[in-house]
Amino acid sequence: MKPQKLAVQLAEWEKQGLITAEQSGGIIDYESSRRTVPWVVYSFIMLGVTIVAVGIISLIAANWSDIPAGMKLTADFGLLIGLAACLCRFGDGAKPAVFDAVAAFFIFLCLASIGLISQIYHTGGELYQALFLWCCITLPVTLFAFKRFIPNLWAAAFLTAVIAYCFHETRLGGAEGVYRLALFWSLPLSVFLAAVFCRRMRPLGLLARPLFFWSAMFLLGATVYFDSAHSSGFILQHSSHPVRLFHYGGYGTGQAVASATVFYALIDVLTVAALAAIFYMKSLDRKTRILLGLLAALFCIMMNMYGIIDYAAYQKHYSSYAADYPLFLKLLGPAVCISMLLLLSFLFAGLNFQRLFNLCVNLIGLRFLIIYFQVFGSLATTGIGLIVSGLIIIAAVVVWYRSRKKVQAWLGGLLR
Amino acid sequence: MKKYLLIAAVALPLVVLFGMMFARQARLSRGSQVVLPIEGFDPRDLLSGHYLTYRINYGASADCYGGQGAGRKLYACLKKKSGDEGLYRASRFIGADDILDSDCSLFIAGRCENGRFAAGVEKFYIPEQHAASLDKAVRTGKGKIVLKVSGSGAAAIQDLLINGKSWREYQEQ
Repeated sequence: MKPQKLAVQLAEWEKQGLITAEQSGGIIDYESSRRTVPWVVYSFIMLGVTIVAVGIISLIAANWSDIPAGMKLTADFGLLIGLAACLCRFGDGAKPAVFDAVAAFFIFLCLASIGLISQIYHTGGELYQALFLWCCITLPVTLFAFKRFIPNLWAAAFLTAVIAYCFHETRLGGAEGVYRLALFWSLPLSVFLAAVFCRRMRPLGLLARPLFFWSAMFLLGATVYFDSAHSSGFILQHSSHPVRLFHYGGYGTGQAVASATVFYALIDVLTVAALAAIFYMKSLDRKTRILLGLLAALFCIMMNMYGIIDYAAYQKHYSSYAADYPLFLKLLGPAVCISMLLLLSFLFAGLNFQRLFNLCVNLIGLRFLIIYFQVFGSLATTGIGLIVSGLIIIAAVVVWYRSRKKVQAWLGGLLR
Repeated sequence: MKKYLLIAAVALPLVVLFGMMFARQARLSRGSQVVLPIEGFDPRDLLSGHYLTYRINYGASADCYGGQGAGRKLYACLKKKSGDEGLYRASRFIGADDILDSDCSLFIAGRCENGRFAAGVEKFYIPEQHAASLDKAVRTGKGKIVLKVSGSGAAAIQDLLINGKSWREYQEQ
């Protein structure tokens, strides 16, 4: 809380007789003594460090061939050792922002060093290999960070490496390709499980929050993909089915069948694992655990629908404007998408993440609007449809508000 | 205790990066030298800059077609070609299970990637200002790659030859 806002709040409480003048003074003294670098200053410092580091990576990438390789490597390792010494110097936590800035610079310079060694020795590896190596060697330093920038950076780099690995070969044929594709589509669950693991393993605790965030983002991404593939009609083309993405083996081949088997098996096994993990997350309240369980189950159902629906039975479409495109498929996407967004909005409301809750509610409204344009087309039917939908939502909220205690008691009883 | 853990955490990247550099340098210092013709083009990556990527002309093709071949480990058995500027060519490609029993004394280890044999030596990093001319030279078939190959088949790039000269000499002409 800002000092001025805190003073106003304390004055109000003092006036109401909730606290004494001494207590108010004590709180102000305590807050002044523990004041750290404001988050705005911290963010700008990290932005500056990131830009400088990207500049160094770019300078290295320019390949100064006139400078002998030995000299470049000596300068690089000299800088790394210097930064390492600084990190040890500030490791006592007296200046957390300085430690984080130096650690971020050190971590970025490790990436630049991988690039430099790769350039000098023409190692020719893939991007995902460089990122995995970077993540592995910088994980211990990441765990010493005081604020969130470095763990967020690490999680983003690690997940980028995973996605780059999943798609590093555009032909996803063969046994390895099948597993890579299945791994990609299971990311919402596998990242969630990784986050639960980090939450329980105390040294890795810093990574739990960014991993939970990315798990939710992957869940949203998979839902949006499911929705757009079904509501636009692209699913009736082979390429938009998740197990056939980039699959040169084609529709109905042995490899496609093998991909599908691995894909569904992995999703189902991970869902069971996620449900078990949620059940044992006793530190979360029951409502949050129920909502997390419902989200995992809905994701599993959504992904299994790709296997349940017999797309081959429908007429093939190569245009999203085909008039006879089945209404069932047109409505399935939005129905799943809105259900997922509703569950997410309840979860964010329960966790008191107001901005994310508002985002989900706005997305639900937007999706309703798009449904009517997709399904009915004309302005008159769209208008009537939106009015009816709005009234249904208001009625549902009123019913929910009046009977929320009963519903909560019932939901809570499920986990007792 | 925390101080020692921090020192270990900071030392880990330094040790790994130094080890990486040392391993590459050792491979370059000790391996057998081979020269192979190449054909290619010039993209760039964000980490290490412009590079030439090329297809090494082994003179024989590996059986990497079809989905089942992806990721399969193979060895290119090399033989020196007589009377052709000391160029090497692959006499055949051998599977991982058969390499120990074969009579092949010089070979490069690699894998099937995107339908062809790749040994991790298909990129040569170059300065931005020379990218266009070197790209053109390699495209027109003037390029050869000099490799050092260890006894286990691990290959490291030593130089890029254009018209039989190191690329630096070629650029100075």
